[in-house]
Amino acid sequence: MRTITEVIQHGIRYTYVYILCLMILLVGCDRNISIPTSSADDPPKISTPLLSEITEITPLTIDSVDAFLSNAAITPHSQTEIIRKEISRISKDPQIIDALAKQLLTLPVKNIDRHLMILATLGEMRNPEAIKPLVEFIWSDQPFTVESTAGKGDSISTSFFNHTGALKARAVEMLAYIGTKEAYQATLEVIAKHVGAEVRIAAIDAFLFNHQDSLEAKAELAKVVLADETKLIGIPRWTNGMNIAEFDARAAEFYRLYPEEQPPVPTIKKGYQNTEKAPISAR
Amino acid sequence: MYFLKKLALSFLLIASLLSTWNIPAYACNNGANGQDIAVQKLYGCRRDLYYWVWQAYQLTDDSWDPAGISDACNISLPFAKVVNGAFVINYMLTDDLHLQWHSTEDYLSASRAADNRFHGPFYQRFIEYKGSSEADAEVGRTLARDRTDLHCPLFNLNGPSDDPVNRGSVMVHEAWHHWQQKHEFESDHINGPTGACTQKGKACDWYYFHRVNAFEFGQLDQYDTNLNNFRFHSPYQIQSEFDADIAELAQPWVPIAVTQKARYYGNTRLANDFVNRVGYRIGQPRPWSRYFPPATPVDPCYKSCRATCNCSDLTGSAKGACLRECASGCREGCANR
Repeated sequence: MRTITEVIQHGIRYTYVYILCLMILLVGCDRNISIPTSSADDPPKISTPLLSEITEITPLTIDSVDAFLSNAAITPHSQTEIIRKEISRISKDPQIIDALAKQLLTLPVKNIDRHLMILATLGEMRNPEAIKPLVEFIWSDQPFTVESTAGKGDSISTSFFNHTGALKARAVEMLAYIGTKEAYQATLEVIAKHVGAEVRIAAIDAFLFNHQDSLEAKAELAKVVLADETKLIGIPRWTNGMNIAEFDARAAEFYRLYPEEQPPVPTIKKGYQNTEKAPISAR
Repeated sequence: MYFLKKLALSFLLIASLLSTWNIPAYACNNGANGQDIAVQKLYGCRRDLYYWVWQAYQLTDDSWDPAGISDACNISLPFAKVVNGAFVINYMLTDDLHLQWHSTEDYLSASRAADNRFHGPFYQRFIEYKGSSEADAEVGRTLARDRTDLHCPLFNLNGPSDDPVNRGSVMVHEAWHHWQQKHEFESDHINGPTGACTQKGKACDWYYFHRVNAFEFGQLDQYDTNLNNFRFHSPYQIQSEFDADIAELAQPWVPIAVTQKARYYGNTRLANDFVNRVGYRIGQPRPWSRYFPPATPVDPCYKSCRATCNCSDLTGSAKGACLRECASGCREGCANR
């Protein structure tokens, strides 16, 4: 019969073994309530929100800029016409442009949705007074968003996004939309010299769009666009209301003309031999 | 005495191990922005919906305890914000049969955590992360279920990535890594910058372009690496296609903030995230988009059909017997496809 001391000694001696086993169990143990095998449930039915025939928009005045921007953001996207009408009413008001420009250039951006509404409003006004603040925004060196760039994640399956470039890309679309000679010149300068690829590509598309995708516009672009971005002149736009056959044909033409843009066959995991055949029906 | 010291040390070791198991997640910068508030107002505080999201997306890890799971309608907190993201995925599309890249059912089934035709089972955690990464997918875990970690950048008020449309698209993206795992493809992103991809680190994909109608609704899970009929998706690609669908083919009641943001995300991803150039842009570069009601009738069966069988796999009487069951009550036979 063992003494208590011997029992304790035995326990301590093998404690490290027990700890190791516990660690293995902990690694494999997920404290989750249930493991779904096949979740066949559909999401609950929800009645679609009632869409009133006329949605009111806050009138845009020097005193109501904030309220207008907030209102515009939550307006159903099917009713943008009322926003356009309101903006066209005040499109020549320099005070409103100043107020919007001031908010646009307040950096870093704390509310991107709001900045997108500011940009859309400035663009829709089509007032040359908006060119200068838009150009300043596009070429700004200041950080646009407050986010840590430290430690972009050890995982190989991570999701990131470049908001600074995205905001400048939207700004150059609005710059081109103003539609004056000065605005177009500024857009061409972005295409030729901006460091952001997403900004240059947006500018190319916007320049063409505002010239009705004409051959002359394409020729003008070809003089300034970077060599490896020439192929992006005139790429199709995927939109609601587009001609699907035309879109498919133009996109296919892009990959026919530039076979270097075809991707390689995807990589199967090491050690696997994937022989699955999955015939896919087309619509 | 010596033995007592060893005993005490052993207990301390065990206690420290237990305390590090499931490190409690700290709060993000809580609060709700206008887009989150507006989206939640579209459906209100619905117990059936947040229960369904909790189960379907497996928000069951205790990391959600400090993140709003017991205050499920509080849109300032991550849990309710995930419900918002799920709402974008599951309710906002028109399911335009001819124009839309992929159906709601495809995105729903791809993004949910169930063991299904897309992927094996996984669950989703809330993990505070001090970097800029929005989320991570952990696949091929040893002796453990795969999982997706959602990080604070997706939830930080005044943070650039805190909005429901981005959350929805990130959930679709991360779930696609689980698809890669199930179908035995490498789930790594490619190290950038490289080619046309401007992202630094492992943040690049290839874009495998397909024509608009190349995938029947209900077949997004499938692929074909035969060069004569090549069809495939990468995570950033499926995310961009989802962004495009929301931007251009959302239900008429969807707020402008959602559709504009979706286009903003989609076009920037197309420009930045792919090694090869992508041969199209999303939408028109207008200040305010023009809305067109669906020109083609939306097939009610597609809107809510679950692909309970793959018609292409069946022949003869089996094909005729197989029906796609639709919540709307439609039952369409494979013989019709």
